[in-house]
Amino acid sequence: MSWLARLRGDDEPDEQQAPEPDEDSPAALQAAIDELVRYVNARAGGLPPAALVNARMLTDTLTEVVDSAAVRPLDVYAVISVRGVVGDYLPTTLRGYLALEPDARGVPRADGHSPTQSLMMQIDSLQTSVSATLVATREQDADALMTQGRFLQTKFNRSDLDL
Amino acid sequence: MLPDPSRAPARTDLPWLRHRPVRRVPAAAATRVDLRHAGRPAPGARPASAGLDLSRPTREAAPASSSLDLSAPAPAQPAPSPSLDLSSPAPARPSPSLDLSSAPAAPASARPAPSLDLGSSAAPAPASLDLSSAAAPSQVAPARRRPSAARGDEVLGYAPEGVVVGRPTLLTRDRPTIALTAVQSGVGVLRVTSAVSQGVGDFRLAAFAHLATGETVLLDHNRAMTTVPAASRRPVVQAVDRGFLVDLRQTPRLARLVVLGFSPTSAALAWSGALRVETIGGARVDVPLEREPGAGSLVALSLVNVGGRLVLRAERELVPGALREAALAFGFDELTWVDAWTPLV
Repeated sequence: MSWLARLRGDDEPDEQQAPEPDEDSPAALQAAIDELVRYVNARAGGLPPAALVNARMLTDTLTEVVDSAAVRPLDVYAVISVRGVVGDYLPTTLRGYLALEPDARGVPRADGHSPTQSLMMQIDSLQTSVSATLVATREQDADALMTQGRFLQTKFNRSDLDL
Repeated sequence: MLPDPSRAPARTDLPWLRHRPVRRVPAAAATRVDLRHAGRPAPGARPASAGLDLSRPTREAAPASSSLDLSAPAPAQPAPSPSLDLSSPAPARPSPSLDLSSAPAAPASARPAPSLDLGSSAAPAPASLDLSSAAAPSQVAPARRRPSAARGDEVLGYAPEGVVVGRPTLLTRDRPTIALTAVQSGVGVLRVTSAVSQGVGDFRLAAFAHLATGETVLLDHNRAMTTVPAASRRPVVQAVDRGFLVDLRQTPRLARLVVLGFSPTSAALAWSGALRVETIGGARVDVPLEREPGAGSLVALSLVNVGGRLVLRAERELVPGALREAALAFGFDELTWVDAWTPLV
């Protein structure tokens, strides 16, 4: 608190204020994924079995991405990808499908695809995207491991420059 | 007296002095990658070529050529030009070549060479792997399109892990799902049993089944709800003491099955133990019933029929409340309930 504020008799700021919850923390991301899993399960009766299974595989992949934060902090692009899929893309896809009348789900639309086909394709696209994120994350881990290996080799082995 | 060098022990400390002799490949046996772009009649003599020729070069031609030429020794050639020549050398002598050309019309006398031909060949080449678009399309049967989720087909969008026969497969958080093969999903009986100690508490097993006809049924052996469809003489799923039997001959009739543990008195249970899933072929899958102690229904396992393959998943979801809440949490919302524990049959 500044001396001017003390002279004016301003109140002390509350330094014990709880920090803002970090929505991008691994715990928050995992909680969002768990919520999405519950959303998918609760609507399993209205989804084609293959879409249900593929959607759950997608949530598994999202969990793997978040679990990689135990090794190293998540890349900002990985966080954006997980946030987008969990908070928007997959729920929007499922909501759009479930909003249709059951009789209309198998009828081809103007583009030649039925809503069920479109649902399968959209989940597959999301899976492809999240899988690419997971691969990139794992490659970063592998690169970090290789860098650590080179460091240890240099530190504890004789250098090639030694005579 | 100096020892006989031929009897001296091998020196292993001078690896850089070793050398490997270059193996000479006989010209007739050489395999050639020929990326010729044909369409032109094959000249009798090999012209000055700058084609992407991966055959072995001749001693005479190699210094003068700037082409990528790994070919076998070829007959003497005229002075080659340093150009990229995609022509068809097509020697009369057939050679086992990897031919990516677009179909040089083979000489009538020439025997078709065993080649990998990616060109647009019109000439018959029985021994070649021809990926060209030529040939007679009317004679080629249209390829059967493989179902793909990326094209909207209702199939698995990933390569599922399977079950190793003879070794139990444990479904964990890191590997929560596996898929039985079509044979494992369609032959015999799938047996689901629980292995739970007395220390867990008043543990009961139940299941919700959803049939392809749209019918949803609760299975609870202790309350005589034992068959799906209800009161059927040929049930798809049957509740037995501490488990369930799935008639795999009727797999197409089953859409989804969810197995859960619960306490009929709503008591908190010290969750432990496992579900064991066995096929008639000896495949076994174990699903842990591990959770922190608590009341409610522990949804442990789900089976989903995707195109005749049963996909098993360890759910590990503890749903607070009675059976009705568990049913709603997993999408069995077409049941009518007398109370929170009893569906209207």
